[in-house]
Amino acid sequence: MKLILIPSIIGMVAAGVYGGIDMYTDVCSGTMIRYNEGQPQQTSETKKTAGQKQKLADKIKPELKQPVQQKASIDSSEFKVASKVKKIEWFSEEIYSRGDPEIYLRPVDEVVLPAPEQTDSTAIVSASTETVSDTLSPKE
Amino acid sequence: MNSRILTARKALSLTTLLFFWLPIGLFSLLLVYNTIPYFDFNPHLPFLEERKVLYDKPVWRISFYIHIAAGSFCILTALTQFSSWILKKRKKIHAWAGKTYVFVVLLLGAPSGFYMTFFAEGGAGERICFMFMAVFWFYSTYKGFVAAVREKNFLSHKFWMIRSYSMALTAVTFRIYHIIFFVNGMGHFQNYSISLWISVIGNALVAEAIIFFQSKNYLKTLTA
Repeated sequence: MKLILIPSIIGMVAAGVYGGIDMYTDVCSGTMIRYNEGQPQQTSETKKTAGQKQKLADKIKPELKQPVQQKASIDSSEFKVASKVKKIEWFSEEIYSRGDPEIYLRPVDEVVLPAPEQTDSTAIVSASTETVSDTLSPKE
Repeated sequence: MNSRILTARKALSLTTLLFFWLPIGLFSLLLVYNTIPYFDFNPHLPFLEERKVLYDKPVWRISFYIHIAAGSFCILTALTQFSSWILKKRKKIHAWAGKTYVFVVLLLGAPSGFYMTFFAEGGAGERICFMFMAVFWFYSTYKGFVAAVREKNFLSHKFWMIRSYSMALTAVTFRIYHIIFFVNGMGHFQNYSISLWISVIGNALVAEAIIFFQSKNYLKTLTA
């Protein structure tokens, strides 16, 4: 009988002491277990909702594709307009004040910017120099 | 004895068998059946996933497996102990099953359970409740064993073993209350706490009521 009783009493005391020390060290180190309220139910619920989410996503996917494509086309057209608007912004009145006034009256979409006339001006310059050179040529 | 009294006694024993021992036996077997998956030593079971921090501790892990194995043994062996037929006709079965129960509770079940109470789910109150349960389970089993083996006081042995079994049965009654409150839509933590207190105090009160009605001097049963 003593063979059972003495080890059992020692075991019980040891369990209490070791458990107390173990809990104390956990509390001091901040590693004490914290149970989340309703976790078992939550896990089953999340599993459910995850499944439902997938089903819902599968259902919505084809319907979502169309608006996405539409949006892409709208975006591209908007991008075109925006690029034109940018060009208009760059289109300074000071530079082109002497140009055709009709471009200010035309709607944005129809505006086609004229190419910079730098080549023409150089041509004019070269032409003028040519004329000068022509006039001052030693041939004559 | 009057035949009517005999018939009433038979009816009472049959009612007790149908409405007490049959559900208790079925739920005990269900509890033991539910512990089988844990012996796969798979740490990914929901109960162990929730206690991953504890599962990483070797002492807690060993205590857990010892406790569930010991608990299953206790519940199965204790089921045979209150049968009057086994007590009268098969005394050896009672003695061997009783020795197994005492050995398992004192050396394995109660110490491992007592260590685990420090990390039990719930607040300080629930942990104290578990501690009381573990200590009282150990003490009542110890007293019952000493009463039978050393003192040969079998009436005292019977009463202390009723107390011990009432504590062992908290594992079964806790799950019954837990299911009932869960069906009624109670929150997990509240359900856990209430089920625990009701099962421990309720079982202790039922045991004391049985002892009170069976004993001539109730107070003497507490000291004997």
